[in-house]
Amino acid sequence: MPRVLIVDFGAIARRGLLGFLDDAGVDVITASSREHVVTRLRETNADVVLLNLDADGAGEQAKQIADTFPELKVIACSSERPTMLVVPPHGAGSYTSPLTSARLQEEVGAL
Amino acid sequence: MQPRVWIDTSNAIFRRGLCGCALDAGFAVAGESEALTPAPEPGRVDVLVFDLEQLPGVLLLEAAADHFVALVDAVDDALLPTLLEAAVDGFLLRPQLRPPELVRCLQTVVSGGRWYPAAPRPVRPITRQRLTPREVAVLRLLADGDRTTEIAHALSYSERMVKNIVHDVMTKMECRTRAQAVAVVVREHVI
Repeated sequence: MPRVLIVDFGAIARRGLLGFLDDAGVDVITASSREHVVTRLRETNADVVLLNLDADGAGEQAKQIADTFPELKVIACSSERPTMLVVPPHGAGSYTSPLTSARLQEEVGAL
Repeated sequence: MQPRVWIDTSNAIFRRGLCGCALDAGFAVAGESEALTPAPEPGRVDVLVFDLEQLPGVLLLEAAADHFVALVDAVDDALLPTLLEAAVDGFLLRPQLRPPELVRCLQTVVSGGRWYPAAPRPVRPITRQRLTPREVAVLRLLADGDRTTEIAHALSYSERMVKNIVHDVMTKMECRTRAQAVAVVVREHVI
């Protein structure tokens, strides 16, 4: 079962993400703040990390995390705009994608 | 019968979150949509929650819902007259919205009330009385630029304890980052 780490979303967006991930049948873990992401990733061996694209410097942080953890898939999604940034594992380059329920579940599920 | 809510908002994550919170609070979710597509079915919805940008479309819907709640990004002078004229029962500020406020708003409008929160300040005022002396001491050192280890050393606490104190302060002050917490206490002359 894929493990997904969720970081730094507001309560309502987090509730939404948990709903989607529950449907996708993945194992969800959380980090209390952005500063703890790297520690949590080391502790938990997650397959995917979901960052908040609305936070300052989120795109930058997504790429740094992807560099540090090459096996990991990094997804930064907005809870305001219909956009997400995906950094696939193994340095395959990043891309932005429209954020819809189906696309999000696809990105999290396709490992 | 449970009150039925329809959620229309453009971001899929936020929309799913609103639906989840409404369900958790005992409402039924009649449906959800983006830019009023699909449109709520007349007679099946007690409260329609919608993005303010969709107001013109909402006004064209005939008898779509008994009550209307707008999601807005900011409060300006034009907002209240616009909402009142359109007979919108309430509004919620999207960036600061938390589940308890959503639920109280839905309950209020369903029972015929109006939910027009006063224009909120970005962060609740924090007074020295609401922070413990220990929390103030940690904030002072944070403001001096000390790291967790340095604060722990200076106050003879464990690092874990310092982290817990910082976490409690941020929760209490509804701040998202340490920098924001420091900025607020400095601005409000708490330290």
